[in-house]
Amino acid sequence: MTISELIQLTGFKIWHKQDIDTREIAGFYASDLLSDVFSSAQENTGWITVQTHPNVIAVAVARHLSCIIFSKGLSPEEKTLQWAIDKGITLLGSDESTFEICAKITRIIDNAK
Amino acid sequence: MRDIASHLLDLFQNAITAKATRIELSITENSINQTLTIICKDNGKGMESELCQQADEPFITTKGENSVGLGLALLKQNAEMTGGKFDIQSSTGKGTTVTVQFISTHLDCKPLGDIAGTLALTIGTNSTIDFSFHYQSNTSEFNLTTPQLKKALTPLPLHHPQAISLIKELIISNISD
Repeated sequence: MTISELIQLTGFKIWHKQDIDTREIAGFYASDLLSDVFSSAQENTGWITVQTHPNVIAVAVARHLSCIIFSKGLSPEEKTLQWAIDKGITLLGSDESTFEICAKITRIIDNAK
Repeated sequence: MRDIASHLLDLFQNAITAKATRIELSITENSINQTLTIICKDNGKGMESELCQQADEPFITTKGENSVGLGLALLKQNAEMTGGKFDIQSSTGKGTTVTVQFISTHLDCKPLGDIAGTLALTIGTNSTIDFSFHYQSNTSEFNLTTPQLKKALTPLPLHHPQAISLIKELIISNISD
């Protein structure tokens, strides 16, 4: 699915959007350990995390992730948002916990089958 | 970077890339202040002050354009997450010193990990680099240097698997309380 389709289906808040109509999400990964995401997340992944530190943008750029979804209603730090704009990384958010977001996305994927 | 040992490995790698011939590592565990302080000093090629001031920024790297360097950025983040601090000083031609302090009782403080194994492997496989390791806690103190080890382990070369496991055991027996 594209990032746009994900937003339509989930109602995620948009902190910053970049190429959302064309950028594909090939899969999802939930983790708060940046080095774990760096070593395990595949290209075009949608990454769900509570980490809002600017370093998340560097991980997203290095691993060519599709977008970052902040859980628990957390907002990106000022520098995180600025780097997302500079580097063209889509940032989304939800008030739900990481677990609830994963469950919601799993239901969407199952319904699409 | 799920433990402090993996950060040490990254610091050693930085020093080796900077062509250091001498690396001094100091680990101080202070159970009264609840701090863990790590100082890694090398005599490699160093950096100009402008680059040094940005060395903990992930998009500032010597690996080239469109590259990302996360080693120091993650170390700083992990230290500050515990309420600790990070500092880097460097001087061209003289070397670089990284000082990092963790508040060891903070819930988000990373575990130490395999410090002994990381050190033993790095010392053993880089026998042309003079390592010096200093460990200090409230109850004990320990010092180790490459020349000392070379002398003690003769005729075994430092990179011999048996030498590396002996170095590891020596460190474990001296730094665990």
